[in-house]
Amino acid sequence: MSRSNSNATSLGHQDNGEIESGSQKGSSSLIRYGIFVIFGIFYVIVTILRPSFLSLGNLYDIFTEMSIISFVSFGEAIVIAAGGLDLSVGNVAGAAAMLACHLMSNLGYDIYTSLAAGVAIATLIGLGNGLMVTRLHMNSLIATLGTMFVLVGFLYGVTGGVSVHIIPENFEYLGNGTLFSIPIPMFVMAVVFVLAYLFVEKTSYGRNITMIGGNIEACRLSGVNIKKLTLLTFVICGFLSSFSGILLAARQAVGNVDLGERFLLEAFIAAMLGTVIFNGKNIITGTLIGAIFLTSMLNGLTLLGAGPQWMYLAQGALLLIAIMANYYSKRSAAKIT
Amino acid sequence: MQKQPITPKDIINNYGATFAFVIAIIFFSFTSMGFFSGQNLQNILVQSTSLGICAFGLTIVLISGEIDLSYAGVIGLVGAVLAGMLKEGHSIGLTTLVCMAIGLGTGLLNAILIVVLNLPSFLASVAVMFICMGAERIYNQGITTWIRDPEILSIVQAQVGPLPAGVLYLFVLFILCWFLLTQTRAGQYIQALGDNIDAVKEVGVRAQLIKFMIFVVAGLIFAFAGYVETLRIGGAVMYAGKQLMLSVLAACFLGTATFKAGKANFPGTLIGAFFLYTLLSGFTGLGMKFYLVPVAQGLILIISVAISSVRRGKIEQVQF
Repeated sequence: MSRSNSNATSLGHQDNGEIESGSQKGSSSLIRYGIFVIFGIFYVIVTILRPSFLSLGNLYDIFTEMSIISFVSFGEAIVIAAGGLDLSVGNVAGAAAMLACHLMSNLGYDIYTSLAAGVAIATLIGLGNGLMVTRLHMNSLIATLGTMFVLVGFLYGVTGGVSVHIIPENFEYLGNGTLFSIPIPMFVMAVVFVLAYLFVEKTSYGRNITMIGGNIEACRLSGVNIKKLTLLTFVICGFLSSFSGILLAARQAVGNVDLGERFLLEAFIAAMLGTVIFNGKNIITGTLIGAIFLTSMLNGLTLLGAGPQWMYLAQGALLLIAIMANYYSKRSAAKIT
Repeated sequence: MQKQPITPKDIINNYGATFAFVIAIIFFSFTSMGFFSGQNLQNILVQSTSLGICAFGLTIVLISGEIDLSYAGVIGLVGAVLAGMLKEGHSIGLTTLVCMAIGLGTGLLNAILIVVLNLPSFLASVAVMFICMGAERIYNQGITTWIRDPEILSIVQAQVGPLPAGVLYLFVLFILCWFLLTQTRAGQYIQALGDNIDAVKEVGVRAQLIKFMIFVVAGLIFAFAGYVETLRIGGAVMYAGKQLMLSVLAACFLGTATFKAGKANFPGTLIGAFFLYTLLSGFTGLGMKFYLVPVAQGLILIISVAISSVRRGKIEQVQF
């Protein structure tokens, strides 16, 4: 693999393996099935200690939360599939939500214009990230880290750090309302999930995107337009992040500056789990399952009365497990081929 | 190899940030209130001490072709333990030892995860960062602890000649690192590791061992940075490392655009650290709002990395 060795920022390892499904047994599949087993045991323990875990109200909570983080997780999963990483997702989500809230609550625009503006700004920032990576050849980690800090400053500058409280009622309905007794975010999630799934699995764009992350040299040789597709992944990621931010603001009925910051870790964990669960295939479905695991874990820990520091610890552990499973599955695939 | 004629483009690539630094100093001297005074220049030096020390640790790792972000957690954890133990009445000697032991421990943890278990350095070090942040939070319960003993604070704040002791630490460490890297054989191996690890292995150098040592040394330097930072501020603030995180990265990457285009190096990192605080100080003198500080830092990071990466010619992938 002819990645430039000369640059000091070459992060990570140079693995040449196409990800192959199925046939291998070993540490990777052990960890993979281990994740399911651990969560199975966790659910049983939580249910025994706190029977309310499985109550209908709590399940609604879990699935609404899961829906909200699923969008940003899908976006991150698509970026990761193409060999990038977007660290600015949380702040992009925050920027979209704050702009929408600001427009509709403070400046009196109607809800559709405000939402469209929020989605548009997020897509534009995604485009900016993509251009930095594809045109300036910046490492996506550094480029999006820069974006992240620029956004933090701008959000404080524009809003003065003040939360936007007065939100129209039909906006709040987006986050808390139900349709046929199913929360609205779940409907949105279902639609986006189907579209994202069809895009990644059934179109040539999607298949080429996942191929870039697997083997960029093969893509280059087979004439895939790597620049265009990598750019596209960042645009999609920005676009989807805005959904998470706006729906979270609607659910909380308040838009605050650091609203999206938790999304970065959560989306990253869900996306990494998503890459692992089906061994690199079917990342969108995997990410959805990852998001369910993550939200139900946080919910269960809250019911058990764990403080925020334990949440962090649990999330960190989950991330580490996902990374190791992902890494070892790639390595064992490389050995076989 | 024949020497290529030097074009203006090469000069911008290689020394772009150095010129920007000089221009910034001249610009602020004329426009910014009280910028070019001895007091202010000393302030810039003092503010950039812990940042610079930490950035040296990261620079060693970057030169060897890896990355280590655990400093963002280590600095906070060391600060919390330092302030906490002093409050409980332990002696400064014991406390210092414990702080360095934390650096050794996190460095070893990084080395084991990255070199022995072969995990990607970015992710492994981020995991260590979270572990440290969690430990910090559990240890200090989210409370800021101040250190009031002037004798202990004088370890960093005392005036030695014209400069505070902290600044001297920065320069001593700079000379040590620079000497290690350019004048010793180990330093040559470290540089070679970043260029071509396979070639280093072919020659029979124990590349894995060197890499292991790099992460341990980096952990110690991060702990020292946390120690200096805490004594400079005079207390352990919650998540002190998180605030330094971007500045340290920015200093290192500014450094890549300062002397050797695209490659991390110690003189560049030192200038990068000064450059960052020169800009902050200068902009503050011009009356810039506090919230624009991260904006400026983010833009500087993007521009400095863009300068050194634009001519790479292809997309850089992140591998997990």
